[in-house]
Amino acid sequence: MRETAQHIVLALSDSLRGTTTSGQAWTLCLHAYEKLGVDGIGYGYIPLETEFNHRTATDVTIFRHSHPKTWADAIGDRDLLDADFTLPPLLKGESEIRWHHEPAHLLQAEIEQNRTDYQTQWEIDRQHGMHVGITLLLGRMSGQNGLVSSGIGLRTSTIAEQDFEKYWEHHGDYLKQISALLDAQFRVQAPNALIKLDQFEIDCLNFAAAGLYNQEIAFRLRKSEDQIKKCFARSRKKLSALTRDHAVAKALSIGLLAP
Amino acid sequence: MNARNTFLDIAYQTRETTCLDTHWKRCQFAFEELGIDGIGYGIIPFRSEVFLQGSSNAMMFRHSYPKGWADDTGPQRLLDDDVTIPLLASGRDDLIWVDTEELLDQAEIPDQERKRFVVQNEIDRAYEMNQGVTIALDIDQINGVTSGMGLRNSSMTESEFGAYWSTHQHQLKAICSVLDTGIRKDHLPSYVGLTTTERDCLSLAASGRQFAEIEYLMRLSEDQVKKAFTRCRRKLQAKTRDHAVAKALVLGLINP
Repeated sequence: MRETAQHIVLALSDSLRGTTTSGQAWTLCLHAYEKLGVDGIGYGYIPLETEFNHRTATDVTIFRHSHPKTWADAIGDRDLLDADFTLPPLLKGESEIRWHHEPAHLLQAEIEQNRTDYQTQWEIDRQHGMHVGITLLLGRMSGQNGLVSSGIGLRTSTIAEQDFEKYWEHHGDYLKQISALLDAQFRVQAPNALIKLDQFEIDCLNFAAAGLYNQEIAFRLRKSEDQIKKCFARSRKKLSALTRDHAVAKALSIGLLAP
Repeated sequence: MNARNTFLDIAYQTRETTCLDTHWKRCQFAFEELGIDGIGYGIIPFRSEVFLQGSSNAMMFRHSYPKGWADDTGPQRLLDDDVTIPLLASGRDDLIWVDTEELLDQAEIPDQERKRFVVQNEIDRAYEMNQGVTIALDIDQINGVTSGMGLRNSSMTESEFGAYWSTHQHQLKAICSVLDTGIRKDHLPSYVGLTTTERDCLSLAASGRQFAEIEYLMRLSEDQVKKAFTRCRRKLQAKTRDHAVAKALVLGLINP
């Protein structure tokens, strides 16, 4: 069993190197997880630390998941992470958070007031077979004590609660390796894979970052000013940015622009 | 004093400098000891800007060349007609100033645009800036920040400078990198000169705050915030607010 798990990780690392499309990379990772018993993942990272002061967790996180659609619908696409009880301990720097523990044990005093939100979400999770799993911390923003910048949730609904520890003992290291590969793929190698800006949008942002006015961008790209404005509106939406400054700053720190 | 000692001295001295001007003067002095009587240093936060906005806009420049030269060239466009800058931005290392015609060919400047470079070259010659070299210092592949230096010598002939350069280039480059790392590691905030208010405004803009929010959070009036952004744009040589935010981020003056 141990050897095959090692093989799965190596095969994934090899095949990721040859991927050309972003969808392919995601599917490859999902397959690798599936072989080790993980049947749903949710990966997210935070490109701009400073946003956290005034926006919700879902707004600031670039998130993609393969959990059941009914689960996402029950919570609402705009608040998927807002009441995720694993997020506060994750942000505090805890590296492994098991899903089957009562949330009350993990919740800290400061989120007392929205405890009911967390409780509701936890119940929704249970209804959709998401009661067994683990949330892992992957990368940190600024040094050892900085804010967490990426993390992943692994759902293992086929495993019984009491067997989870044993399962984790066997597979934990490999699952961590797969998660690290996925993190590198989507945060460093191909950051656009989760954001999906097209070339036109990237060009506009690049020109904006280099200080061109809308009119100048329109001239250079042979488009109308209206098209440029609409393009910025699309980029803002894809980057979940509030202003144009914000979109430029976010795209820069994600690494989508070539300065 | 030999060149090696000069270098060691400057390396030790700069460790204890706390202010940009002292650092600059010490390096300038070290260059003078080796026969360089004018230096120009510049940081390019966005390499693509050199081609989009012109060299003077793209580069944050500081120099010790004769004042007459700067006045004749025009203080706003000191580097626009310096053919070595686009070459530097596209990845060249050392460029000796001697043979302009050849450099123009390398930079693929079309014939009809060459006139302004020729004019600049004549101004350079009038102020004895015809002997020198432009050096690429550091190209940060991750953030794209590039820096470079120009070194001038006014007393040598062409062939003397060639010989001088081949014997002294290692020492000169070592001092260049002392100057460069010192400025970029320790003195970048004072090199750009943003105040804390200006930095906070940029940082808030980068995290997606609207003007009204920035006013409220900073306890400033609308007018004061607008003026702060104008000052940011001027200090960062930025045309738009996006531009200022992007430059500050790339230079590491605000945190992501």
